[in-house]
Amino acid sequence: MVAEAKLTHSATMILQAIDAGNVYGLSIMDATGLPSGTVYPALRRLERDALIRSSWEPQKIADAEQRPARKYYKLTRSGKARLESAQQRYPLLAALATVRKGE
Amino acid sequence: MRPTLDCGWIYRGILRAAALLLPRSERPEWLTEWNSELWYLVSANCPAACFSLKATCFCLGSWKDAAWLRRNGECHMFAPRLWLRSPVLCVSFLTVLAAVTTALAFYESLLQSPYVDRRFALAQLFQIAVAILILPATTPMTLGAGGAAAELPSHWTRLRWWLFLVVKATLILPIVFCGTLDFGPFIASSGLRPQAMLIGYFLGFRWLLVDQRKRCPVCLRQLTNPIRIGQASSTVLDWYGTELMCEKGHGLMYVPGTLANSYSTHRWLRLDSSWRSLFL
Repeated sequence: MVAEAKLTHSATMILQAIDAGNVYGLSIMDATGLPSGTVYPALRRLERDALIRSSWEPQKIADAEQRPARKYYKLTRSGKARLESAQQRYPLLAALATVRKGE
Repeated sequence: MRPTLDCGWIYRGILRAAALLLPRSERPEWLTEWNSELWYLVSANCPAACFSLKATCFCLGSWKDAAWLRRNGECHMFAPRLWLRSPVLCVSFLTVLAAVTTALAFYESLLQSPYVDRRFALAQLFQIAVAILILPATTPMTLGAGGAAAELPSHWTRLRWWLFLVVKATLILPIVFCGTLDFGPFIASSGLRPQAMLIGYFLGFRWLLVDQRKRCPVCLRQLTNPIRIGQASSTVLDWYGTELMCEKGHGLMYVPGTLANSYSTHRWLRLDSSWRSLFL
């Protein structure tokens, strides 16, 4: 059996933030309190490991609202499963994300 | 409405400078994402006192992101250069470069006294020795699969492997020597020229080793089709690294991703002729 790689605490927080509805880089930074130099490389790594996937917002929507298009991140099925197992490992994680959201 | 940004050029400059770390093909999308996020950061209307610090920290994070992508973007790291792909092309390219730099040095009369004398030649030998001594500090001194005699099928293949290495090393010497004489005045004052030569020799020898490790030990062509295997966090018992393939079907090369791996050296898996039909 191939052992699953352990998620770091930061990566778990980022997965939790995405699951809580923070689907782009800046909002993930706000939700987790992590700096951009941690969040973006972690997003690349999570995407490479197929735990999240990214997609660009349709340009038409962004143009209509006169703003640049954003890149959205979404958990994959395996990402959700890994988050659930990580939440058992870090029980306070869900509470932390809720508190930060309420700030 | 587009928000205004007084020092926007500084932040965009930081992002563009970081983008230079990435392969050219990945820059536009990467820059679009960072510029877009910067736009939203500006439009968040945070107090002016803390905004510049926040925006600077945000943009400086892009360097870490670009460095990560450069380190882990296997397509870039192992992308074969067209002019270096086959051994003939590689030697031809180096020969042309050596001929051009030497011709320029002759044209400028830089290879005659008082520029070049016996002491100068001795100084060159000393610099080459120092460059070789510095080399192990920056890159492993292994030659990959070709360096191990057991990996090569015949004496002729082994001889060709070493011959190719010697020819490349021989061509690098005049390229660095004459190249530094030709272009030295543009990059450094005359007092700093010896240091420029030392750096040139060092970079040349380093490239020599790195390039030799990325070649098929049988046909000497650059290996292609990199595939990442394993995960960086599982290095003790699992394998983490990159698998490369010889496009002629001679074999597969496993390059370790980290020295902490249980397999810390290059491994060459030779494929017999029954596999040949799968390759071009």
